[in-house]
Amino acid sequence: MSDEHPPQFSVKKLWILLLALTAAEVAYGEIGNRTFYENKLLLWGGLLSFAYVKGYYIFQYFMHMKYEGAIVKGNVWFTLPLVVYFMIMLWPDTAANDKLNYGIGRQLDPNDGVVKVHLDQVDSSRNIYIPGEQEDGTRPAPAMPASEYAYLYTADPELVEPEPVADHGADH
Amino acid sequence: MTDAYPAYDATVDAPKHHHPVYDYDSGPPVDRGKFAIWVFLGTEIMFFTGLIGTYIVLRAGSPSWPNPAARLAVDITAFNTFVLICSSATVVAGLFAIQNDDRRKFNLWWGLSILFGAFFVGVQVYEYLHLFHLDMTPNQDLFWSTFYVMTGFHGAHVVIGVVWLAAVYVAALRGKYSSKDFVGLELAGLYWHFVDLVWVLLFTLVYLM
Repeated sequence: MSDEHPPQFSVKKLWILLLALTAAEVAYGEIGNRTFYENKLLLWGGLLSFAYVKGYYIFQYFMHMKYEGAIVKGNVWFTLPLVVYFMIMLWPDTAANDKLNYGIGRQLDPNDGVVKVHLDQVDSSRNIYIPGEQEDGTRPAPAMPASEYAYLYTADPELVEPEPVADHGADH
Repeated sequence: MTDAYPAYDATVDAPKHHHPVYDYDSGPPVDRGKFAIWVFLGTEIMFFTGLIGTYIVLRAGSPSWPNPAARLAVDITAFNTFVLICSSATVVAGLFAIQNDDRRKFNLWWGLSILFGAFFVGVQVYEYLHLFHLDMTPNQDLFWSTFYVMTGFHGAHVVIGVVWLAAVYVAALRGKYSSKDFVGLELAGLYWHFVDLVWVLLFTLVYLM
């Protein structure tokens, strides 16, 4: 039962503010992607700032957190250090990515973002290309059409440009 | 010989409640439902933190990432974001209406919220069907796999939210809620706002960045 009514605020004003912020954010993203796409700090920083402000107003007013007591607030704020901790724990995976032999997402073509590695030659547990080694130590070219050859970003030249095999595409 | 004592009636001494009854409130000084929903929302925050954190790691670790504007219909989703924000506003307006015992306005605002939520889900289903038609499936690359995981889980939350809003709406139409008792509506609203809040972040991360 709610015997005491919590304070009410102007829904209309907040609604207009949130819609205006969303419109401004989309416009900023559109313009940013066309004019200063390379400046990630400016583009992403601006977009995340818009998201933060919108999230703040939803959290504080729509979710009524501004008017809650210490118990409800404490229920939520304990997650903040956990979020920070989680991000810190994940960070090495990102920071050390260039030190990995096959970093995350190395199967992406930087030009069009299309996958070039055939899925049956990818170790799904590690998301890397496994060409397979024969008994004589050589690595065969992948049995796939030449247009689907692996496009890898690695220091190993044998993996970068495997020799095409003319007829293997038909078997596949 | 008459009975000096009446026959013992066991129901007289039987406890009226299964739980002990105290002469004070043994719980926290906050509504139990509200306390519970915020604990639940705390776990939901961590759930989406896991998804978003993984997305950031995968994206930051990739040598390249396609521009979302080249792959996704940002304008349609921006309109869908408008709709979801509108639904949050109408939920609050409905809650304020019931607090003022204005049932006519409550019925209008809360009904609109359900319609807006259903519209959001409909647009997302349309988007998925369109993308699948273009072979933009989750197994294509990291962009699509992370896109479907995050928007898919969020979409499931929206569906649950719409069902929840509809359930309390039916109860409200039957007269369950009033200015004296509206906690059930408040809890559904809190969940709905949380879903809206998560979408504000996801829209920025997935569609704009």
